Amino acid sequence: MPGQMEKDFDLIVVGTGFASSFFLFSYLQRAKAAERILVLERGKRDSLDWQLENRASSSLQYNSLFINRNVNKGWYFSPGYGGGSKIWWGCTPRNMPNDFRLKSIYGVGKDWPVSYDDIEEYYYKAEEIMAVSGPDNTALFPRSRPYPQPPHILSDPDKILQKAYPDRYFPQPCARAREGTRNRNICCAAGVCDICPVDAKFTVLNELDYIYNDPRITLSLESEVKNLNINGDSAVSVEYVKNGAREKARGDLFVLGANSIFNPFILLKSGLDHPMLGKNLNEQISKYVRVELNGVDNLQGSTSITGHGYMLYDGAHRSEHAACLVESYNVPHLNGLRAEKGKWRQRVFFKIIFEDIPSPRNYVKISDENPELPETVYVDFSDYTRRSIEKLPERLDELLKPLPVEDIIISEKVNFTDGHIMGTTVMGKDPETSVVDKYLKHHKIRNLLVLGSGSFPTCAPANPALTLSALALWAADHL
Amino acid sequence: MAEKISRRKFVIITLFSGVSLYAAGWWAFKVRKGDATDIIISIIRKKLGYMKIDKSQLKKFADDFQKTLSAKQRLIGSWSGMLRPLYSVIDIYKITPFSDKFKNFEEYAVTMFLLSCDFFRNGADLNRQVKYTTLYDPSEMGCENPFANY
Repeated sequence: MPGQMEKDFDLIVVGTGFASSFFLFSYLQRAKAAERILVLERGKRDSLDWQLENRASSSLQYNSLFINRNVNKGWYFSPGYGGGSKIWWGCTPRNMPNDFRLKSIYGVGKDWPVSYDDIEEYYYKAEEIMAVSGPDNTALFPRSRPYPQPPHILSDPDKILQKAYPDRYFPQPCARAREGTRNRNICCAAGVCDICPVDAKFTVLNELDYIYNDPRITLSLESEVKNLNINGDSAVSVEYVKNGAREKARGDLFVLGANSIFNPFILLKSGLDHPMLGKNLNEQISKYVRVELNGVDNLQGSTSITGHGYMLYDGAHRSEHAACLVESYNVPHLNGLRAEKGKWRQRVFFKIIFEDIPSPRNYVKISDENPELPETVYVDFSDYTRRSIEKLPERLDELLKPLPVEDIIISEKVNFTDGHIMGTTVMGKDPETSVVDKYLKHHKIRNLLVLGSGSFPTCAPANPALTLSALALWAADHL
Repeated sequence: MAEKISRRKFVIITLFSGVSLYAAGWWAFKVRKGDATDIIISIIRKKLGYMKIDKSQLKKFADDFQKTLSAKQRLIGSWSGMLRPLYSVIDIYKITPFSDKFKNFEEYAVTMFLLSCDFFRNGADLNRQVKYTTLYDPSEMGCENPFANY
């Protein structure tokens, strides 16, 4: 029947954030001219102007879309067209090679089924698409080619730390433009990167919007995916609600690119049970540190986060306690200015980001109270991370000796959320202990890919967006 | 027959009543309204007393800044204002469980004032009269970070 024919597609993609958009970027380059692709996006296309005017990244309230009873732990994301790219701060560190083999090297966590070398070229492709700015001295994560854009300017305290730790402290690799691109302006360190007022950071809206205008793609906004229909070892169709009506679309290949709360929820609603599905919900744990200086002004940098410190990242300590990454903020209204005469800018504001060892006691499930919503259950982060947090004061005393320190104030509580939801559709070699394989294909349903940071077996301190984007390119290249 | 009240007791009761009356009055007129204008002016004067700041400019800043505060911030500000007279004698905030909140509020007000006036634009010259320009709002103003080099 004609209506039914209109709902047949070669590829059906759920979501329009980093994972889906990078996957489509690569997929479209090889797709036939007659290919039919359906993209289902739950939210609207909230333009940057709309976001700035409304001081909100999305017309959907993210925390009304899932249940979280834990008042001490949030999970932040931005629903709608462009997904997390709308609210990220554009931080694009690569994982370090040892992040992929934590178990082999340090005897903790898990190894990834892919290595750093496997995905190095995809890291570069993702950096090229995002026009990432970064430093030259990147021996910690070897590169086949230089960063597409030059590094941002460091602040004076950053320069002191860089001199003291030349191979472990450098300008943060980031997708906040150091040089303008065709679609983006140069970053001017406005410091409100969640909704960039000058459109300087990479977003799906500014650099990959053209993908969704491709004639092969049908973009269906305000379409909430409910479940996949599975027949044997194949997905055959997707059910979604649009304008209050339930619709169905048949496809040959299905790609889930929602996020690490909604991907497992859709799979659970599709009857795809697995001991690890929804499990290992995690994100990094972070703390803020304020350092009062004597005689050195701060805030001269060219972007919101200038320095990136790896002094406490990789090393033998990872057998005992978590690695952490240091970010140096260059934002006057966040750093805060001092009132003492002449000392207004003599303060450094760091964010210290700790890795965590994911645990199945933290998970996503179908809510018992309202089965139409996912529910997050989070007990706690690991003792491995806690040990590292406990050691932070003494390690900072030592680490910050090159700076003229007056006082170091570490925030008492860990941050409520870092907006990096990970670990609920873990990748691995063994179908018994993982949900997807190294190409992000579902172990059982082979015409189903589950993209995003849900696939990460461990939680490195590095921000996940670049790695998940590289993995989406890698998955599209290995269909 | 009623016991005669001692002079010492009388002074204590009078003082206690005065403070209570003051607190109740402040509660009624400021705290319940969440009015933080006076305390913002007071914070800037105390913390940045070494600057030449015009009174009317400061009032304008306090009016604008107050409008951007959340209800919670406003409450902290107004409570902070109630305790302020004692603050000149004793660092009262330190003996309350909310000392960090009060301190953070003070620092936020100072930061916002410094970023909203022409002080840094004029080379941080302490000999010049400081003028409030417009409330610092990078979402609205874009590239107005006074320290950035790009």
